Amino acid sequence: MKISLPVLRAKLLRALKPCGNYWLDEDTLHIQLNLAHPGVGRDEILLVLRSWKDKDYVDFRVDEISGLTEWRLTESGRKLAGKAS
Amino acid sequence: MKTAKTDAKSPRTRRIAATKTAKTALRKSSTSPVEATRPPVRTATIDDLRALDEATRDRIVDYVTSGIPIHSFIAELENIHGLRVENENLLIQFYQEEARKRWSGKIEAAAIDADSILNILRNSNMDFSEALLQALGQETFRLITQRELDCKQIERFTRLLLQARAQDFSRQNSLAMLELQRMKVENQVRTQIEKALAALADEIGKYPDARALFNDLCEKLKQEPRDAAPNNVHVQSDNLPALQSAGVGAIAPAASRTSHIPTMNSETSRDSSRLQPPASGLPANAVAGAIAPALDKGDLRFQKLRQQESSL
Repeated sequence: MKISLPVLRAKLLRALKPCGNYWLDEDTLHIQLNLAHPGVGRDEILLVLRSWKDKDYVDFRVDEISGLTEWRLTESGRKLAGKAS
Repeated sequence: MKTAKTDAKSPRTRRIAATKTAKTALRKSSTSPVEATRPPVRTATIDDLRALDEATRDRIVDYVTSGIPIHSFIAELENIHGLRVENENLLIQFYQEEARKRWSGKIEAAAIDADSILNILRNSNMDFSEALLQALGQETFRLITQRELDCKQIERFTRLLLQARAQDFSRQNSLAMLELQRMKVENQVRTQIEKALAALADEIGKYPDARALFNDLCEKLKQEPRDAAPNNVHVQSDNLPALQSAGVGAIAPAASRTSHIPTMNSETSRDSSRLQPPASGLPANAVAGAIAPALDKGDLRFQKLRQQESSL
């Protein structure tokens, strides 16, 4: 079932908000989003995350050992998540 | 035709037969605890599984996750809960629901748990740097949220913990080393003072004139209270040449090795008629307090010298 963009954004915010200052890797984020809506693709998630990166809502880094990309909300991203909830 | 033998059974035979009969009756009538409490069996539905208690639901999840054949668990469901699972797909569907429910709250719980661990470490006696605490917190969060642990993660976590422990040990060792150094320096200074005073006593003991002057000094210091020691001790100017000839210059090197003992070189004794208070920050009463025990010791030695002289 195809998920709409606003719903995906809301779910992304809901998934990243409880992490606080901790980094969440892409794999876990992907699993988390697919629990409620199976079939959410990685590309869709990355599209939203990259657009948010440009607006400074999220930040990312690459873990040197696992090689996974990790994401977390910035201060403005947390404010956005607060408004959305 | 019955014989007399078979017709009249012996008491022993009758007893054995009765026991056998009783045992058979008992076996038929008795039931196992499971059988006694077993509810009526019916075909299980998804709602029945949802209605199970939490412990049983956990066990279903564990069974499916572990990959062990679940036939024994299906038998247990039937025996204990009266639910006959005819298709394993029912259990798998139930597992998917349960997993989704558990996973939804997992990330939030992971952040809370990681923060709790950090707070405990922060408030403990061990001294962790903030950067190390952040790394430990992130690693804890990662271990909780990721469903599979791998060796690299465990290795990294272990390395962080060992680093934290080494930091704490090195801090404790540094504190212990500083304490030892402080004690060593104190001992060294004390030893030097005692050596200087002993050398002073030896030198004064050799020369009668210096001995007399020193006795006067002792009397003066003893008379005045030890708390308020005089800043200036006057040395009679007409005795200065005697002091000089008595080799006061020999005393000066020993005395000048410590900063707490006023230096008595020939220029000082010629130019000034008084011993200057120590140039260091120590008050004069501390110097007097340090010298007084040495003076007492010196008294004893002078008495011994006097006795030796009188015996000669």
